[in-house]
Amino acid sequence: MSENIEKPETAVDYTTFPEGFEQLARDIDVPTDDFEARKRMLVGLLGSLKD
Amino acid sequence: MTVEELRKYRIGLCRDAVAFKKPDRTPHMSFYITWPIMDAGYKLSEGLRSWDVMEDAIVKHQQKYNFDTIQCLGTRNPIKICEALGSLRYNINDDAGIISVQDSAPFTHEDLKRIADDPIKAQWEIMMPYKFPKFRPGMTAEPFNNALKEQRDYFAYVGRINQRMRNEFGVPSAVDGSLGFFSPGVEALFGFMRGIKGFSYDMRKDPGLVKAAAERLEETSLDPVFDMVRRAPEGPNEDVCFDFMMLSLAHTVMSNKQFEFFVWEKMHKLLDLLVERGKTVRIYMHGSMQRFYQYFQDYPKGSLIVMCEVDDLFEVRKNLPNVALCGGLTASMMGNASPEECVAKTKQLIDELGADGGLVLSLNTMGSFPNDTKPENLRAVSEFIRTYDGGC
Repeated sequence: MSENIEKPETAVDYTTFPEGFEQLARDIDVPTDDFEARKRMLVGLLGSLKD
Repeated sequence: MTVEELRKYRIGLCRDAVAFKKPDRTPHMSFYITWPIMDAGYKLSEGLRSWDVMEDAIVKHQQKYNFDTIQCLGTRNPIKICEALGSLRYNINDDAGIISVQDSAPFTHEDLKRIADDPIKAQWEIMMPYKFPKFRPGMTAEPFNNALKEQRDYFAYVGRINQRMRNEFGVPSAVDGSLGFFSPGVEALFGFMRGIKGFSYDMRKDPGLVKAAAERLEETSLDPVFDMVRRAPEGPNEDVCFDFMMLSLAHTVMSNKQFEFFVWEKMHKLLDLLVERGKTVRIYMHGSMQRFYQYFQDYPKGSLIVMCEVDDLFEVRKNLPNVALCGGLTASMMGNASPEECVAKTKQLIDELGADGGLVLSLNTMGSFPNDTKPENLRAVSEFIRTYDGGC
């Protein structure tokens, strides 16, 4: 089941995994509140950054 | 002929070629990547950094040369996505019309274990800081928002240019993207994780670990393709020229034994499935295919077409009489010979290799540099192919 986004109270370093990755997924400006979909978008972006 | 009738006609030309059916004429596919940018009068950097410029270049490419299908609609180098995160790996030389990408090997041999354990975590923790100067502790979400915007712009361009080609010019898609692509894990290891030198070392040092890392990557990059093919309607997709594309580069540094261990096992299974489901497959193995003929000799006539990058088409036909051929218009000829010489060679290819189908003419390699083709040669060859029905 998808998790809705919760804003953190403390800053998380985006470069860490999975904490930073998941926090970034919550913070990016994309048109969905579905947390799993947001993570998939980041994974998809990762795929575009390979070359 | 309406635009839609023209599109269907072109699909029929390509499908007849693969099926070795006597065609109305031999089809002509564009295999140009960045060459159209300069041919349209733009600087290379202008085309690579503006989708509006790229769109105009591709439209002019089709208007000038009237291809039957286009392999690359300017989508090969979405560099702005990487540049949003500060990538400095691209060097664009507008004077020479060349883009060069620094060889990238963010991972060490020891990191293969981490890739096998969790490829996303490994890419996040190792590849991202290696490649992107903005990926540092304390970074904000802004560079990612910019990269995501660039990615959305890229996808919008892909949709827009495909629609324009279809609706304005009757140009069909080359392949059916809905079936996915052949993306074995070794291609990722070879191409962007370990680089040529590192990957070659890995294969000899610990082939089992390479395979473990590759198979972990394939859980998302390749294994789902099998289900996509199984779920797709049986038979060819008559809306595209070829049903599936297989591209391979890593085999160029492998022995045949290594190819069988790292690539062929799944490639074979996927090819068998595609053929069993009535799909046609276009195979592009970079470099020479000579060492690999044996793997494709038993497939039924009408199911495969191979891109011939460096091998002589007449030799490939002798060794793979069951497989249709793509290529023939070499960059050395298109960039150096006269229009008359180019047309004479094109006529020979059609007469001797395409009279009964089995041939799609295209540049033999990805046309990237201004010297890969003289515009007057491409104009002459395109006009000849469209009007010549000799032997057909």
